[in-house]
Amino acid sequence: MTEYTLKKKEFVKNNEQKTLFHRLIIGYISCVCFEYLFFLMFGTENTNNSSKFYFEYSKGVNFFMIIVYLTHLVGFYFLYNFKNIGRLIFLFTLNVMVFSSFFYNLDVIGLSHFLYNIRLILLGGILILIYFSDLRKDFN
Amino acid sequence: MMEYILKKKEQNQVSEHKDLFKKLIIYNFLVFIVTVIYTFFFQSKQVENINEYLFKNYSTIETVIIFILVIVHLMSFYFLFVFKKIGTSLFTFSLIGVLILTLFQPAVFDGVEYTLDAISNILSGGILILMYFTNLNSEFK
Repeated sequence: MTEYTLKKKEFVKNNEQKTLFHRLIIGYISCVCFEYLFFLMFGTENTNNSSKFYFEYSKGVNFFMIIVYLTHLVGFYFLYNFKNIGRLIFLFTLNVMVFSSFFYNLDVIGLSHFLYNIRLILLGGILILIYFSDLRKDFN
Repeated sequence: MMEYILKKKEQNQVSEHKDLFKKLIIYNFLVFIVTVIYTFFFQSKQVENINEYLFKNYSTIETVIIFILVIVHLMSFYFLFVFKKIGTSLFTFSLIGVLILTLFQPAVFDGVEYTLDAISNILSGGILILMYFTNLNSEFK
């Protein structure tokens, strides 16, 4: 195999990973949008009452979590454009979001949990791509 | 010379990915064990009571399916660890199966289980990406 072929192969692989990375981000954002649309359309009074019961955060913590969640979503814009700050935001907000669930009272497994699991699988994929693949060199 | 360097680089990358992949499998297995131990010995009374009530509604077939999926998932960890091709299919199948089951089986988690479940899913996502979309996929035989 010539040097040119090897370099070409590496270039193609890098492009494939970039496409995959973009698809994962789009998939994640679509999942978030679907989840919110679903609950806006079909969320009943029961759902609202039950979520009040399940997530017993104080107002201050709730506000902090909303800020973290928004930052998390904004961070995807930077990730999509391969900005280093996006990686930091992603890692920080992911940790806060995952470990904040320690304080949940209890959670019923259902559609929201199903979507949450899919989102986490996508996040795991994104995490591997941005920290452990060739793509990490493309961030600046 | 350049050709040699590029090939060496690729080999290094494959071995790096292999190490990471094995670590992810071990962590995922450990999280699974911790979850099982927590569920059986340390789960809060409130959650335990609700789950006991919910599990009464499970049919025998549903219980058998859950049991089979858990066994298949555990077996897939071993096959993935030794880079057997069958492991990729088993892992994907059991992961999708468990995901779909959450839609139909009512159950309740407390905070710790919820966090452990989240960590396990993130690790599974990493495993999926490594085994299907990196140069590791040619290592499975």
